[in-house]
Amino acid sequence: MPIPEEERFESYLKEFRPVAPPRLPVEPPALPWRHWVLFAAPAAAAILLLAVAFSLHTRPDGSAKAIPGGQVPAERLQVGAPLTLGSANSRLASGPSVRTVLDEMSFPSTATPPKGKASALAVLSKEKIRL
Amino acid sequence: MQLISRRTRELESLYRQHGPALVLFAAAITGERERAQDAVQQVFLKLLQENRLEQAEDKKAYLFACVRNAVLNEARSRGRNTSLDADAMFFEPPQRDYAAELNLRRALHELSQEQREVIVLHVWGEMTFAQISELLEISSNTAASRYRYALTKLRAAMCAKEDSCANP
Repeated sequence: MPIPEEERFESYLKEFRPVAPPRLPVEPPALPWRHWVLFAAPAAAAILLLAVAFSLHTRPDGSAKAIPGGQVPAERLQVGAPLTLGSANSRLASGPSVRTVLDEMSFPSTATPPKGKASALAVLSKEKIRL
Repeated sequence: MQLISRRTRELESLYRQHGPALVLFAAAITGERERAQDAVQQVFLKLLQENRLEQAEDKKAYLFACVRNAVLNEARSRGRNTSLDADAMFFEPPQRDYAAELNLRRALHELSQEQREVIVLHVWGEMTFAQISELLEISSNTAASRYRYALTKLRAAMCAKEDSCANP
C-alpha cells in the first residue's frame, strides 16, 4: 500500500514532463494509387473544361454551324481568303467536277475583289509598260 | 506498399506517444540526452525495417526493452561511465521552474542505475512493477523496493535544496 506522502511526491514528479524528441526521420509513405485518381480526375476535368471554354471563346461570332469534318460551307468562301484544307474540301464537295474546282482554285478569273481593292492583274493591265 | 505505410504510421504513432519517456529512460542510463535520442531513433528506424514489433504482446514494454538493450550495448562498446549532461534538459518543468528541473536531473543522477531505471519506468513510463520486473529480469518485490528507495532518496535530495516540494 503506497504511503500518501509517496503518492504526493510521485504526483509532483509527474508534473515534470519528459522533453519530446525530434520527429522521426522517416519519409512519408507514398499515397495509394486510388488517392492519385481522386486528385487527378478533378484536375483532368478542369483542364478539359478550360480547353472547351477556350475553343468556344475563339470561335467567330455569328458563325454558321460547324460541318462535321471541319469543312467550311462554300458560301462563306470569299475572294482573297486564304485557301485552307477545309475550304478546299468544301469546294471539291460542292463543285461540278474536280478539274473545274482545281482550275477555279488555281486561276480565280471570275472572282470579284473586295470593295476598295483591285486585283493585281487589273492594276497591271492599266499600266503602260515599255519593254 | 499499403502494409509498409500502415506499419510506418503505427510506429510513428508509438514514437509520438512513448518517445519522451523512452528518451528519458535512455538518458537515465547514459546520462546524455543526445545519445539517448540517437539510440531511441535508431531503435525505431530498425523496427521500421524489421517486422518484430507486431509479434510483441506488450508493445510499450517491448519498446523499452529494445531501447535498454541498445543503450547498454552502446555503453559497453564505448566503455564510458555515465556522466550528467549539465546543459540538456530532460524535463519541461512545471511553471517553467528550470532550477527545479536541474535539481531533479542531479537528484536522478545521484541514484544508482538500477534505481534510476525503476523510477523512470514507473513514474514516467507508467509501467507496473510486474512489467518492470519482466523488463529488468528482476522480481516484482525487488522492483517495488528499488522504487521506494529511489523515491525516498529523490525526495530527500530535492526537498533539501528547495523550501518545499510536493508538500501542499
